Amino acid sequence: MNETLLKVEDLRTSFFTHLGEVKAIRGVSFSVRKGEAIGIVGESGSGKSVTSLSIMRLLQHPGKVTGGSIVFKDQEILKITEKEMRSIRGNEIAMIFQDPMTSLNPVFTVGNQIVESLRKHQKMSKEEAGKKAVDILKMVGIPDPAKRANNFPHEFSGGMRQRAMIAIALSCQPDLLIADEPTTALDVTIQAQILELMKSLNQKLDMSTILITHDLGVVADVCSRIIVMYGGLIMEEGSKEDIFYRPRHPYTMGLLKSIPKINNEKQRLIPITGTPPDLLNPPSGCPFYARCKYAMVICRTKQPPYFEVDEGHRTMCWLLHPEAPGNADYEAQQGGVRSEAGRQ
Amino acid sequence: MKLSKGGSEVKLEDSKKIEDGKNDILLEVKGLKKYFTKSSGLIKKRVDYIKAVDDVSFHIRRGETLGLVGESGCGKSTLGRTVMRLYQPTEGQILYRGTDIAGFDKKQLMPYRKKIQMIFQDPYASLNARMTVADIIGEPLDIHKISTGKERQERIYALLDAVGLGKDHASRYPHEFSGGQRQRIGIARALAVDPEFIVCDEPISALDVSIQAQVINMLDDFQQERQLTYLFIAHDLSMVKHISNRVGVMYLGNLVEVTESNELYRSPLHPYTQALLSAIPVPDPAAAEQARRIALEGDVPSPLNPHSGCKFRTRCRFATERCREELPELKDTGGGHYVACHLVDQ
Repeated sequence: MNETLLKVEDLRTSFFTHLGEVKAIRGVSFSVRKGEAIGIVGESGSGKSVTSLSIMRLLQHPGKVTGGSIVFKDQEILKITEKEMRSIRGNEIAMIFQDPMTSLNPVFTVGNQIVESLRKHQKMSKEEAGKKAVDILKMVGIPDPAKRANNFPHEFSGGMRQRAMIAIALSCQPDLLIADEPTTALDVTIQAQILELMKSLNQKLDMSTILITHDLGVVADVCSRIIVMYGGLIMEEGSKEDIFYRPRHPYTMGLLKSIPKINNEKQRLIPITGTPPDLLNPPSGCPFYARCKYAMVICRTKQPPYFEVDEGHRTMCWLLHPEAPGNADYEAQQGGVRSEAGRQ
Repeated sequence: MKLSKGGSEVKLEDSKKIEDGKNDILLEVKGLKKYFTKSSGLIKKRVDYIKAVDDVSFHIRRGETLGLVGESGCGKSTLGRTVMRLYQPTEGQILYRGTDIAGFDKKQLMPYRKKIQMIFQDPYASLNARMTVADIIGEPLDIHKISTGKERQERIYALLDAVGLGKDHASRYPHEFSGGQRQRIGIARALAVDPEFIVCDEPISALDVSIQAQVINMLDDFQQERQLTYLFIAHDLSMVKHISNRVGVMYLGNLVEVTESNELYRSPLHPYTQALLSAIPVPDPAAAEQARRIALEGDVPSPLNPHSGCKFRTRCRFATERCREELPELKDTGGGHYVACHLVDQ
């Protein structure tokens, strides 16, 4: 369980647009252990999807990794050839995308697309791969899989397409599954089905998962560790209990306060004012500075280092510096969501 | 009892006032149907009906927010657009302050267009990219001949200010704004004609979490300030609960449950509502662990020639023979909690 599968260190990715360099990720470090499910949450533009594309080496022009390292199973992913990468991609690291309609090929049957992936990576015969494809479709809960394998993606509903995507991703038994907003395009009841499926497969196949989402509810359910990203940086990382019950970063605290609680009586929402920073000219200090209620002078000029709050819980915020002047309001606001376990 | 006599009298009066306010029904929809036709076949023409909204009745009181939830394809947006009269209803009545506007033509609708406005889901598609913000907000003022010249400009500035944008934004184009700001422009446009009733069709689902709360609070404030009435359509159940006084749940063109929002979340009666509520991911790890999900099998069936009886019966755990034969009616189970399910009246 403690074996590190993926180690990302000081990763930097930029997009070289005609307006200038957009620094989408500005030094991100984290690791994924074997069998672990971690969640990356953040708003659009926070760099969460770019992180996953960088790991997969799927960045398209004008995007480019400008620094850092990504070590997967003791292998530096950023240094290997494209051919070597191709044998890792799909085989050892698989990815599920947000929109299942655009990521499935409309002119091939679903069965065919699973067979393609199996034959490419595992050198199976056609018959064998065909049989396996049906098995996998069955595993992801597609009813009547033998018949359904011959259907085209447009004959599937949204939820079934996402199941088919998961089936393709799992066909080669990857060690790491990266799911980028896998349920955002789906309805809540279908989302619940897909999340249940991902949770059970995670346990069954002993696979590591990186779940990227903007929905705090989704990570609370599926992930054991959570990374909160903002402005191309990791603001806070910790166990899900750390993040939800003991958040220390004003951004995490703000996020948790801005969503309505379904079990409570109506209270006014506390939004985070302002808008995310422009990464074309990223702020030199803390990216959250402009929207932070507790901002100090130093926050504007100097990017804070990580402060270890607890074991495995780190926060990038000057307020945690031992010499920071105490902020009574900040101290009082800690605690995150109250644990009102269960619902009626 | 004697002691509090004076007090209780005052209270009685107060509650009566509220009661009166509650009974002031702004919009009443009766048996509304909206069918879309789909023709297929080249030689043998066949026309099918997509029953997007199938016999829906509800009412909204003045100053109230009615939330409308349901999965994609359940007809909630169609219902909103039909109430707005962007679509011609197939059947049924739309009573706005007692006047049936369902059959009105464009000219007859004009005064109602001023009273009923809409905020759209996609702030990228609902603003004309070739118009400046001032023109976008000013257009309804021109159409309804509300103000011209200097007065018009002042009004535009005031509206921009109300939604948290500045004067300097007026001459810019939509592409220069972020999603949240665009939605503010859309809200300013809706407010320009001083409407009474606004249909909000998923106004926050395209926005980031931290921006959603800003927009929701703004809608809340405008409602208080201007005594607005909202029909709030969304699929985010926790947001709907937050903003609505009452919530209606739709499934495949039917309204299956309508009640007070706290009541709905506390004791949902319809099996579909129960499943829908249990599927909401809770942003609280301990609660998420304890949550018991009612798993719904399969997907929403196609609204094209739907099956007999209760629309939900194919996915319902409790479906009986009766559900197959009879479409349950939306009935009051007491205290304004309406449910359309055979199980409830047994």
